[in-house]
Amino acid sequence: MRRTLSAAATLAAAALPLLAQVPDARLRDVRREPANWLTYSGDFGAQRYSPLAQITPANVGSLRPAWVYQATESGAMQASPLVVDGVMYLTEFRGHVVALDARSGRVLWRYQQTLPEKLLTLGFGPTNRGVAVLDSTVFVGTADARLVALDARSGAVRWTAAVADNALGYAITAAPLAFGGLVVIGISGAEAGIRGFLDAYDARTGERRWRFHTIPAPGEPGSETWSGDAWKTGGGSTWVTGSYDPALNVVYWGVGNPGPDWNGDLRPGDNLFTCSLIAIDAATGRLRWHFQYTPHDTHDWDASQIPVLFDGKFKGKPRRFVAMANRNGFYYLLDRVTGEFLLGEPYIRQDWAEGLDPKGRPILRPNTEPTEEGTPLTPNLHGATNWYSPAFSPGTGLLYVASRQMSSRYFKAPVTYEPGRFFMGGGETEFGGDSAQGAVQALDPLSGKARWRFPLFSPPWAGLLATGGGLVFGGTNEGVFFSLDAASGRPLWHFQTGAMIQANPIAYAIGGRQYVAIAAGGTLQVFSLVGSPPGASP
Amino acid sequence: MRLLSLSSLIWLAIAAPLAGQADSASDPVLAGAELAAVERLFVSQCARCHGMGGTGGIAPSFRQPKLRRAPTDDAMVRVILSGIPGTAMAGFWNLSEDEARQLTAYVRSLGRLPPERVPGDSGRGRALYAGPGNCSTCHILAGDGAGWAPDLTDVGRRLNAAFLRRALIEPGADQPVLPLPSVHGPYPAYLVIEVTTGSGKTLSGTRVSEDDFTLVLRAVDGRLHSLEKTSLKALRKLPGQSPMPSYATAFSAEQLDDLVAYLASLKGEQ
Repeated sequence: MRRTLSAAATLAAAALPLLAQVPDARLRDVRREPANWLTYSGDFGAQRYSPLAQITPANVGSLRPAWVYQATESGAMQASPLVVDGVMYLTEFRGHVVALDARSGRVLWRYQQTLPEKLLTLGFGPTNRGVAVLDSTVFVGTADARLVALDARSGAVRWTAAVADNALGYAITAAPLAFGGLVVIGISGAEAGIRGFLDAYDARTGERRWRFHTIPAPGEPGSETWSGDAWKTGGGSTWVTGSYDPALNVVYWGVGNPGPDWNGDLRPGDNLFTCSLIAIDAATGRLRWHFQYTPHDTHDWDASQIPVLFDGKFKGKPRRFVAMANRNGFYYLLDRVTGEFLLGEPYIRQDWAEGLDPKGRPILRPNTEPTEEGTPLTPNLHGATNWYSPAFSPGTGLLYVASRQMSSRYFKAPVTYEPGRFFMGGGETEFGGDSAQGAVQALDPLSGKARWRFPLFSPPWAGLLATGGGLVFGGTNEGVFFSLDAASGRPLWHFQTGAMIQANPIAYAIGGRQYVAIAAGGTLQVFSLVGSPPGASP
Repeated sequence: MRLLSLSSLIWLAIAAPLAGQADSASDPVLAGAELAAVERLFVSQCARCHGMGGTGGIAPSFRQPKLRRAPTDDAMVRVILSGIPGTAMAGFWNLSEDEARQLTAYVRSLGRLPPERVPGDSGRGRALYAGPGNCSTCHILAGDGAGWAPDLTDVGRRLNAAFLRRALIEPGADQPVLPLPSVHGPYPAYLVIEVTTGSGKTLSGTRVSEDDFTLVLRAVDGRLHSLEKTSLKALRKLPGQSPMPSYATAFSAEQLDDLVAYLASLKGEQ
């Protein structure tokens, strides 16, 4: 017995640096350690870019499976894993967390999520998109609206915070964002008529440090865009992880649709801060600025996309940008210091707006509102893109977006709020099948124009990864994990994973070997080049 | 923020709970406002596939006293809420159990209505099926024939006579669709595709599967061709066409009646 124990201990000490210590300084400087993938989107700027350059257009044809992790919980994984010093942290459907040896997929620990029998996830399933890590703690949100802190070495619970009441439809699917002693977490549930918010918790204690309500109460800024009691059930989920600028100490987060989704009669006005980007002071939780993409939305076009941060020159002037390819079909470039609208361009064929005015507000076409008989319109409720991630390559300077070209017929119906029930006021009929397509597009982020376009058989549900090797990785509904030349869009490699892909790829390295990982169905599949990596120790 | 939709099924969030909740009595009588409400629910949720008044369409008619998949009221409630795996019948997670019970009572009432009248002689139709129709070249029926076209063993239970007649005259008009779980469906189950291969050969057939990089075709002789799209010189999709020939001119009106009568009589194992 003693021998077995000491043998195991030796193996662990030799093989796995299990003391995952990720101080804030490492998170602020992730480009210094491209072997790791430390935040949901790979860096605070949410670029989903890996500088790793071992896999290139010349050799990607030799990319092969390295290992597969099969989830113990049935249900499709949508998570984007983290990799810290050889350990991968991954969430399964229903939010179980596993720590894996990132070289082999061997399980190091497992945190089994306990969810109540009467769980409310109205409009989505109990999915989970990933964890955050800070110091030696792993943070995960739960489908019943709790935030749990786990010891990164063991998976043992450090603390649990009750974020909101699941009986009213509040839920968490997003990965948290952790930095500077804080854990920022968004909420889901606008289809149940919640009043949305963005929360920050003390990373050590789980105590709530601030809450920003995405739907203002009477008297608060933005409340003039609501009338009566509509704000109480005004929606405004924050269900996709945002980005963070440490220099400005500002969090950027997309806000979802107003409630009820399709019947706007019950909530006249612009309905701030729904379908908006909010810039929140990380120290206080107060609003610095906001930009509303879709005022008074009646098509479920959440601004729940990734706000991508990058710097550059616009009309000769240096700027700090925040870019978003929005669900409503337009790509937007804003100044992230001031919130100033710089440009907006459609990136799919849409038919609801003539264009944008000089302030970025959409110029509506007539007869686009949902009706009892149904109003045909593009895009459909899932939008021109959705929660899955775009990628930005500092190498090519291009923003890569997986886009959806699909129409639907929007219906309006009467609706009354009842706690814990659907509060939507209508629905849609998709024009699906062969009439709908997708694409991977490389947008010039400073003009919004597509540099190249790789068509997809059906509107995708998978995000993209750009790499320093000059590649873009993506996935399809038909189960194909593929790689394109980041400069030209030329397809270079593909692999049938065996299940619909609805997740974001990541890249990491161990022992000089680069890996690319993607979740497909109930598996996490990891790829590397065949043979010994150049310069790797045997 | 809906993540997955009910494909192309219309679903409307009904405003308030329907007046007068259904009780658990086995044969509730629907009337007045309650009947109007459940009819509205049926039209918005069910009629697109099962036909107005439940007369059938791409999905089975409800004008039959016994439904194989839903022999009891509880079973029908389960089918409505959870769907039937492997078929185009999706679960209606937007409906409450009360609403499913009301729909069940309504569908039972449709089953008491007189069945569709089918002219024609099913015996003569059977001879046409086996002989000049050449149907078993592609279809399978009670184990006889080929199996790449739809199995007709119980087609009379699944499709009404009007639908069957139209399928014989205009085979491309009402294509069967692939069952869920395609979240981007419905895809036609028999999309006709013509390709020109790298060597210049033309192949025609129906799509078995397709993604961005690959295509599997079934040629008219039943052979499968697994193709890399990048190796093709041309690819042409012909929506609205069917690999099945039209019988509009091959058969007389009486012969069509007979064949429809035969197909409508095929109920499979009772």
